[in-house]
Amino acid sequence: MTVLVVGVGNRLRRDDGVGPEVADRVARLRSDVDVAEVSGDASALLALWVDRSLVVVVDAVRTDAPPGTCHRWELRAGSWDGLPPLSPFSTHLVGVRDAIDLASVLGREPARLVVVGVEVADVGPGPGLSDPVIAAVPDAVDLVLGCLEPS
Amino acid sequence: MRESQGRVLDVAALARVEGEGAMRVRIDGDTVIGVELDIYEPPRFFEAFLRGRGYEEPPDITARICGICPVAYQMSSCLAIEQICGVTVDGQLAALRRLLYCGEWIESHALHIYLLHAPDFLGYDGGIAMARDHRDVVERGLRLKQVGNRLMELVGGRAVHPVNVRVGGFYRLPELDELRAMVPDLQWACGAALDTISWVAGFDIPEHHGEWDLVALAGDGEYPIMGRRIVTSASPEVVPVEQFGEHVVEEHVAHSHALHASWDSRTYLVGPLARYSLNHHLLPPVAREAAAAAGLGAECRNPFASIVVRAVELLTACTEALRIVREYQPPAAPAMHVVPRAGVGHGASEAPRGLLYHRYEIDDDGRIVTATIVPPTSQNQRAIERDLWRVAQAGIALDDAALVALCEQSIRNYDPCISCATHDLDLRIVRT
Repeated sequence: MTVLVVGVGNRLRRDDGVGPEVADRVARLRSDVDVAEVSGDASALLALWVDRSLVVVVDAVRTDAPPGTCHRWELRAGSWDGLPPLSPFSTHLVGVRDAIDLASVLGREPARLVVVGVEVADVGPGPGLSDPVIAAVPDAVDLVLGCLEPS
Repeated sequence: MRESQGRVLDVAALARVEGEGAMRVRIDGDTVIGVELDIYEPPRFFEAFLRGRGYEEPPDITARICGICPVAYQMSSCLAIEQICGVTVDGQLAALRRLLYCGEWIESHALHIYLLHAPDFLGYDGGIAMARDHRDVVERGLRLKQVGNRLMELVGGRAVHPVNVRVGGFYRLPELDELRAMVPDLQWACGAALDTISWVAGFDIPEHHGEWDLVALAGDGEYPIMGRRIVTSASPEVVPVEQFGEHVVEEHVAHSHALHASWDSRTYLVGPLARYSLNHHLLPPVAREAAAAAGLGAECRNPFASIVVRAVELLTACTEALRIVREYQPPAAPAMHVVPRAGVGHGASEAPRGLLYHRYEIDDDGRIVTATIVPPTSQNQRAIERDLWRVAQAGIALDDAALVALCEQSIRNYDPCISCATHDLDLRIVRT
């Protein structure tokens, strides 16, 4: 099995937990797909990506879009499709963007990499997602499922 | 971002959640007149969260304080609670704790050396830029970090925020076969750590003599990770961990959310330089020899050389982990039975970035009455500022870009909890 869905984020930093929440739901819907959670250190992504044909990373993002907005970016053969200039800041020790860049430099990126980003409202301490992000979870799940081959 | 508008050197805007900080250096003419390092750290809130919680909860709650050094929080809290309850965890359970802690040191030191600090010495903006030219080296660093992650998963249950630690020991013991299977990886890691020392020892390391006292745990026959005695460079006195609060004073300063600490009213440093200098004789022989070959004496007070000391500690952790894995025999039970009783307990351990102190008071029902947590980065804040002042003063003739780089490198010398963010420092120099 070479497809992997990774939820990135800390469930105790409010909306930062949206990645793991989406990954949980995908796991319930698609038992044939590997699902993993990376909660603090995105450098662990590099090890998870080895020999994968497709990796979908789900993460909290903050751009100028309203909270709950879902984004989808794809990396094929080393070039981003419509990737906006993401902030280098991250809630993770080594950010997802760092991990992606490092994987590219080291030639470790998966054959196909999709990042599904959910715009956050609140990344303060505590469990639970904010209302606009809860409402966006089904859309994010659909975006992930849309990347996968039908089961 | 830099802009020249006069005489304030403004180092600002750290924006990662693991630590938020800013720095400002003010310059009047050719003289540095002020240095402020502002670090936001969450332990204050955690001390309040802990009140009223059960005596078995601190390892899980405090592990959440830091994503880089959760084991340190777990161990310091366990040691404090166990002291109250009259329990001493020893033998193979203590060895497993040390093994888990070695995993954290390997993870943390490998990350800092390879991805955060080395780029400063080699003239890169960060680890990714460095990886383009030094791919094999970065691969080695990532693989070392993975060895640490694997130890954390095996003993702690997962690599970040381990879930297998409890007061009295562990929930589940690792299988003997699982641990022994780590031997080849750890043998490789020992060799890679030796190569790391040789690599960083070849860097062009600026000269600087830190003017602060050194404070670390005293090793009890082995390089210190967990312990009950504290030693300092200022005095031959050995301080029981119970007396930590009699020596350390924390005070608010206007510019920072973190408390400033002093030891007997003096600026002090915890972390690799302190541990190394106060416990050099307890390094495993292979690490002591490698340190000597790298040009380190028995004491090191140059914060810029901390990358070499950290590499020596990386080898120490790999060597210790290999020894423990080889000698491991599963204990009879995964944890000792711990019955709560009212009292006060103190625990200290050596987080990758220095001594981490916990103190708890619990009542007869095992409920926490008060909690005090003193993390290493806030203890070091005053020393960091003091060095930054001197580094900026010594480099005042440099152009803005060079001075900014030197200041950032100086901050990273201490591997502060905000180190992951300091590479993204938004730094402005304003000269009036």
